[in-house]
Amino acid sequence: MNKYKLTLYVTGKSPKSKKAIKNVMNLCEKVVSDTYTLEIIDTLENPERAEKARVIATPTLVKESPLPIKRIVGDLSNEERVLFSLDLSPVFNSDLEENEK
Amino acid sequence: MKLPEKSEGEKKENIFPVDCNSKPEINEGSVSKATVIFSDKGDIIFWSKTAERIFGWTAEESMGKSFSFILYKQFAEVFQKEVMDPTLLDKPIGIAEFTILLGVRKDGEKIKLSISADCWSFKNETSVVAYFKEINECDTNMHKYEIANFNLLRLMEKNVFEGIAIVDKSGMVVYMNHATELLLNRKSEDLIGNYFGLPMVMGRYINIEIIKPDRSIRNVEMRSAEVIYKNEEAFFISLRDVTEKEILKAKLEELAFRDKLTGLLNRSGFMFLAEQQIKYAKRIHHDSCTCEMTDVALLFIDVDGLKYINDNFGHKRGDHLLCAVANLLKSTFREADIVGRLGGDEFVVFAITTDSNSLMGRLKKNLDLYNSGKGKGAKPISFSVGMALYDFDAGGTVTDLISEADNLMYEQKRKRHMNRKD
Repeated sequence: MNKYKLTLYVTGKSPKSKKAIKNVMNLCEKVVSDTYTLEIIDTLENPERAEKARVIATPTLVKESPLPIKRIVGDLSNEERVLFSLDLSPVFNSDLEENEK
Repeated sequence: MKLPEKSEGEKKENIFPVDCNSKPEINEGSVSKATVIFSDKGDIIFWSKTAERIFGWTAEESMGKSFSFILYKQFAEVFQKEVMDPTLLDKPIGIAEFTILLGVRKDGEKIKLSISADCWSFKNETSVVAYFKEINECDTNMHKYEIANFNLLRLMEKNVFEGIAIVDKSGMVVYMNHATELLLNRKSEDLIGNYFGLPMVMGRYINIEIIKPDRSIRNVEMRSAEVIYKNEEAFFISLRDVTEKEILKAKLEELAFRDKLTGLLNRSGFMFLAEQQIKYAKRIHHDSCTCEMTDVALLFIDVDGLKYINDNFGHKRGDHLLCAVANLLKSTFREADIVGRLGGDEFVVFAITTDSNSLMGRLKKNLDLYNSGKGKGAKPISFSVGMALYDFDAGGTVTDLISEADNLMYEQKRKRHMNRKD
């Protein structure tokens, strides 16, 4: 069963969007592998979804579940900050440190 | 304009309903500020118990009187100008001002008052609700400081072109200035209380895209800092629209790196990208554990007969020839290869390939195809080519590689001339 439900809002297929997608996918695979679903919404193709979620800036990453819903916007390359801000199980930080060793 | 944060006392006096037709019930036990409501003509239409205590006049004695009733003449003029300004009265968000005035009690004693005011709808009429507070000398200095700060904030709110927003620890917007409203094309009341998200940037600008309600996209630089706002941790976000700047930058890059005639990279563009590719190739070469290594090849192509065509048929025909060569090169090499025009009749191709020998073969094959299929009257394309391979052990730069390929090209050209003579 997937523990984390994430939605990433990007704008088009610009290098910026591709970078955001890559960063999030890398992070998820590395940290919450097999326990997440990631939906990518292109706000140009699916503006209604962005409007419904009241997303006004991209890239925005939303952790839909488990509650509480958390939302971050901007540079998604800083893994530690993203993990902390989305409340993605702090236990993974120690795992990361262990891997680095 | 945002109203200043209300004190607990103000909140208590502020609880009576708008448009009420009866005198509101107000618990004034802990209220230090007197609430007085004026009609748009400046007549007193509501007089609170605190007002009775501060000024000494009862509600019955005060109702219907002008504000000059409780203020010294010159301060009544200030009040008229600062608070009862008719141009401010119809503003839906109201007016807010801290001002220090000199008032007068029923017994004739002068009192220093601080005043803040707001625009209200009371008994179906536009009116001004004013909060009077008696202040001492110490308070006066504090209020002057507050006034200075408040006025500075108002000036900044109106005149700063950079969007400023504050989001709390949950990512919810708790403040935004007028420039942010313009930038987002959304009213602050639509956004305050909604979630923007936690900003993932600290101490530097990053680029994000803003989606406007009309679904147009703006490129925006965002910067944020962790601050304390209303005793809570929060993020101070500044937003700067750089859409036009980005477009201009792209245009300038295009002008700086592109050959206008052929659309290929010019010398600067070619050198920049080729240098990057050499660095990349070196890294692969260094990391590679196997002997199966890719070649870094540079082809130097010199178009034959351009001067002749320019001199005899005009520069337009010469330009046509150059464009034909450019198209031929573009169609021959992969998208990942770097094709450029150094200037005049000199073209270069930079390729990282596992089979450098095939490059010359592909080029010759496509050249033959072009010449056999060209239309009547069109001149055949002819050029000399030199190909140099990067020596990872010796190192070197793109300029070295160009120089080597150039020499090889001249060698080929010389041989062709010799063959023609024979």
